[in-house]
Amino acid sequence: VTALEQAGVAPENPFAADVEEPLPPPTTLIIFGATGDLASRKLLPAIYNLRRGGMLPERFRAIGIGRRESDDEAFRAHARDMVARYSRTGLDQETWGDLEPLLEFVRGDLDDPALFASLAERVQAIDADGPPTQHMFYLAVAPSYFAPIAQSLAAVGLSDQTRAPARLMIEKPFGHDLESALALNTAISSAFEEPQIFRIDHYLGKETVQNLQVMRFANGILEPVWNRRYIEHVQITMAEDIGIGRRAAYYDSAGAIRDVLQNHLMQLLALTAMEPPVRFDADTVRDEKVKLLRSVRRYTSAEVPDYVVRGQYGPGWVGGEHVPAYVDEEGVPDDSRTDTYVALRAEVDNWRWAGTPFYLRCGKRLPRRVTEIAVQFRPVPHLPFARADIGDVEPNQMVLSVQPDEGASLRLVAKVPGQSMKVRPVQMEFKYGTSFLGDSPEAYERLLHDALVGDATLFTRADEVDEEWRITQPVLDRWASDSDGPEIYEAGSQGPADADRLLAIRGRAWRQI
Amino acid sequence: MTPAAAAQSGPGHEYPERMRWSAEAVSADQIDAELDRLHRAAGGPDRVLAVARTLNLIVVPCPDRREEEVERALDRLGSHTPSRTLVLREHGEQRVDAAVVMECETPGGAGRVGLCHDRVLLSLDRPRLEHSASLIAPLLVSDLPTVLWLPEPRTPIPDPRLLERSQSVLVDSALGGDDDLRRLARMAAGIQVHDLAWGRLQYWRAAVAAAFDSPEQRALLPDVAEVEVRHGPGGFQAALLLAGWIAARAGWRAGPLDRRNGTARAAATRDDGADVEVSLRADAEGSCGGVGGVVFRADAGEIDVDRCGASSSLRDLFAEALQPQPSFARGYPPAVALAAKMAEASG
Repeated sequence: VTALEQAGVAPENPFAADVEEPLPPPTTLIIFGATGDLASRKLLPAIYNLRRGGMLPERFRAIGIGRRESDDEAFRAHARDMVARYSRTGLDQETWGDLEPLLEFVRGDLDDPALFASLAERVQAIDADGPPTQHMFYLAVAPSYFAPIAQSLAAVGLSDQTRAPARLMIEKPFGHDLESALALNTAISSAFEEPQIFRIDHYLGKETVQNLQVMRFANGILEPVWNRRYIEHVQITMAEDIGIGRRAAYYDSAGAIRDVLQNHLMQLLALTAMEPPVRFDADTVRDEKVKLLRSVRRYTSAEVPDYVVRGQYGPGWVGGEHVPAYVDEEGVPDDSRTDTYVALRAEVDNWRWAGTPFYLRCGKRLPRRVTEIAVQFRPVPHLPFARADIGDVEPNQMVLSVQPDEGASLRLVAKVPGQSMKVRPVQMEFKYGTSFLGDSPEAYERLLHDALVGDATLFTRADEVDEEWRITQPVLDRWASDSDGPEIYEAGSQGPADADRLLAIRGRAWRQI
Repeated sequence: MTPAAAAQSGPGHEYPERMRWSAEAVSADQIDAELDRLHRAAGGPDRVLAVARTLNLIVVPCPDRREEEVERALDRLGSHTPSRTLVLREHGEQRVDAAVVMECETPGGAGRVGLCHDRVLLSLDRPRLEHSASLIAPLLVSDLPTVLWLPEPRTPIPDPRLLERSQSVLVDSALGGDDDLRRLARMAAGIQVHDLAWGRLQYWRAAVAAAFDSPEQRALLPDVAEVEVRHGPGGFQAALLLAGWIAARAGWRAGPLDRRNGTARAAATRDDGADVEVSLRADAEGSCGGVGGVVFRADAGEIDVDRCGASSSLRDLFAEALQPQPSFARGYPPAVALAAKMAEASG
């Protein structure tokens, strides 16, 4: 008997050390909104690719829930079509043949308690067939259903973890403002405990976003310069060339600030600026992110115009096509004041960053799709060369590109070959695609697998969401009371001209989109 | 030196997709210069192309019957292709002949970067082959890891210095026999061996680990008296490797296998001195990675891991084996060593 056994500590699993990707425990995955857009385009292909990669457990069942007139057979046919259309690996008959019988469908109204009673029966029947399965509830439905579904599940005992884990996955938006976010968290946490809740910000599933932490915390040369002494400012950009498509109903009440800045950009800010976590586990990483978000300055109503700029796209040309103004998009009111662009200067009031601003911007109908973090270093303190004719000495800049071409680059200054001392900026580049063999999993595959094995590192905790809203809320309040609307910018341009004002000191300028 | 052909660009494409050059009786310098020229020709101000920076792959000569398979495997790698592949072949002429193919993928969309990699086929006479490391050395892309591929586990390495030049060896033990396992076990003690068979067993390793995840199931492990690994046709070597891994990780000492009537049995000893029977049973049922299922039996119960969960293409296996997966360095050497020991007296 070992000392550990005497102390009542179970020995470690000797086989786990040689497993690249752990297999989740036996699982019943219940998808609410199973025939909706999110489930069809992302979730069903992710399940298929996890199966294809051998990353689903031996005992696995997926139950789709929807309001449509459907049955197991029709749901399987729908899932097959969606996998064939959206899976990054296409559709392999053998894998599909294995997965198909594991898919079931339950039709029901989400407001009807009978649906949850029959779901509980169905789940019990599955569990009666062998060891109990973990119950993973994926809510691919409108946010207004999050709390009612969570409470209905709890009412029929499906949030109980006595025999196996029960987990709830939801996707942003987590509330419409601070008050509704707090209310949502309170309502959900009356049914599921915080460790059972997995809030998806799919950006955190992207390779480059995860690589941001590896770049920062696994490269000794960066940490000494990753602070206010060496970094002049940081620009975090998420630009889209597309408009709002058919999302007018959602987008017009959300705007760019709720759709992107409050969540994706705040997460990128937190990951860029947070202190090194002691360990890479869920709570340690998220503790550091919360600490950082708490140090982001909250602006008073009077300060908002000095630090935040909003815009709305007018007509223009994007990708060689003429596109309409936002207010001319289908379903958008003529007098809409919704922001399709927002730029914010964030001040991080802590020892590492005080005085180094973080400029965040996001928008639609910009010239191209790009998401990047650009770190602008301070200029050298003294140039020993004759400045007048040396050429262009730009400060070093490190750019971490999240999409479309994932990678990192470092701008250095180099001598132009020749007799005279001329210099110009050059790029040292690392592109994911050129340096690694193998395909990256889709963000949803990574996130679904992590949730199935209970790893919450890449999911947003309730207090993170709260802090993100606390930063955003003063801006929303000011805009609601402002008589001025957003500045109209030409579609295909760099955004509203007023955004330049945020950087117009010490020669700063936005990077070209 | 008589160049047999000049560089050719693929016609009708915005970007060159494939550029070739071949020549007889050439030197390393000439090949290097030609590679440089092809790279320059592929790039340009109007083309967003980059040279892959992944790894060098050296392919040692294999029997004629395997040459086409090797070529097909390399062709299928697509975006998983190493930066530079150097294929060694033996021929009867007393000279070096070389053929260089450089391929660039056409960028998939706006803002995407096209990727280029090259393959050099080197045909050498026997004496040059036995000193091929000296020809290969200047052709390797610097600062990248080098992998030596043995298309068959028993393929001899013509120049031992090729091994010194490499950081790892790529091999598929499923294509070999018992002797090859012993060779790989010796090799794995000195260099990282990326065995495709080990990659194919990834699902089974994960499934076995998952089966012992709960403390209740884990409590059975110290009392396991029997382990049975079922294997499909041609899956004996894979089953043996898996059994070697299970025994090594469970801390058992295993004896040699005794093969009878389609089943091979080995006596193993647990930490507490009790016996464990390890059996490998042929089964006509379907399998994945060569294995059809694993059963652990103890007095208090049985753990059955029996459903295949993954299908990996050769392309995926290559990519996995060429990435720095920790289990190749940590788990494989003890697994193959124990499998080789079990295979010692198999008859």
